[in-house]
Amino acid sequence: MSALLTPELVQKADCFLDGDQQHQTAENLGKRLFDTFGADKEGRISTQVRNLQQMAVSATRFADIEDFVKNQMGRKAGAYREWRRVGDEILRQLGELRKAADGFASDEGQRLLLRLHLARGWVRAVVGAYLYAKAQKEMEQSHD
Amino acid sequence: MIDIDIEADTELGQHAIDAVSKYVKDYAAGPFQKADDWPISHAQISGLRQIVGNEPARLAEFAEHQREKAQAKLENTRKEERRQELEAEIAFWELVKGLCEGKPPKFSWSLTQSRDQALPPDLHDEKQSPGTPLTKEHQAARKEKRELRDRWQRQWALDHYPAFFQRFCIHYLYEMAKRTQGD
Repeated sequence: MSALLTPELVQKADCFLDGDQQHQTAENLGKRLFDTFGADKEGRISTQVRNLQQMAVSATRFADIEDFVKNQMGRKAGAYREWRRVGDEILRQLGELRKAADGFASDEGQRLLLRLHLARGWVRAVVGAYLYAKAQKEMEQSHD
Repeated sequence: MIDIDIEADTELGQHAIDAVSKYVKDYAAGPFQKADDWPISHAQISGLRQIVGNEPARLAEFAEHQREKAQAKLENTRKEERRQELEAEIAFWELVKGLCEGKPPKFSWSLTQSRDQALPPDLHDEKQSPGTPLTKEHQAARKEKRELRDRWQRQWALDHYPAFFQRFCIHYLYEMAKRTQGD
């Protein structure tokens, strides 16, 4: 099966990501991720956030991103407590992306490609907001 | 992009989530407050994932073996609480086996049913009228078709079982985590 994303579909998806509400939602999540995971010991982006970003960028199935989040929440070791604080909100937002993609196309192949396109745009916005929150915190600390 | 990516992302994945949700509702909703009390432990789920990854064709057999072990324990257990746990464990392994090869009416969907529906028409056996003698050419063609079908079914299982049970196992552990937040 070889589905293709038409420029019209890409535009629809990008418009969705650029919408005020979507933008605000992603921004709030980015801040929440910073409040939850902070930065790593050397002040770089948290490994957990980087892993989420990596998964969203490289996944060939949208469900793999959802599974990644559930897997982190379901673990018994590592940062599972932190993931349980933010995981359901991430899953909710991914669910919204799923719904949006379903509304934009009827072909299942195109829907999958749209979901992945949306996930990449979404994670860019979330990580951007995370990094902004991190930078703000660092600036506050340098003024103290 | 291949068909299995679409299936795993939609219908197949949804079947896995629905199966876990129903099981949790029926067997794990009330009494299990701690993760350790859940009918199937983290370690057993890890074992299940390993079997699916390595030998998907043997999963139903593995589930049946687990069910028999739990059944044997149940027969020697009098404590009511423990009996409930074992009954829930038996139901879990019955579910896993049913998801692999269950038939209606008990299982309206299973991987085997799904596989049979997906079998390409050219791999189906041609119906022979009874008593019709098969020529050597026909026999050879049948044998070849059977081999092709076996190969196709093995590949189908290699693609679909891990995709399905990955979602199933992850969703089970997720439900367990959600319902035992204090752990």
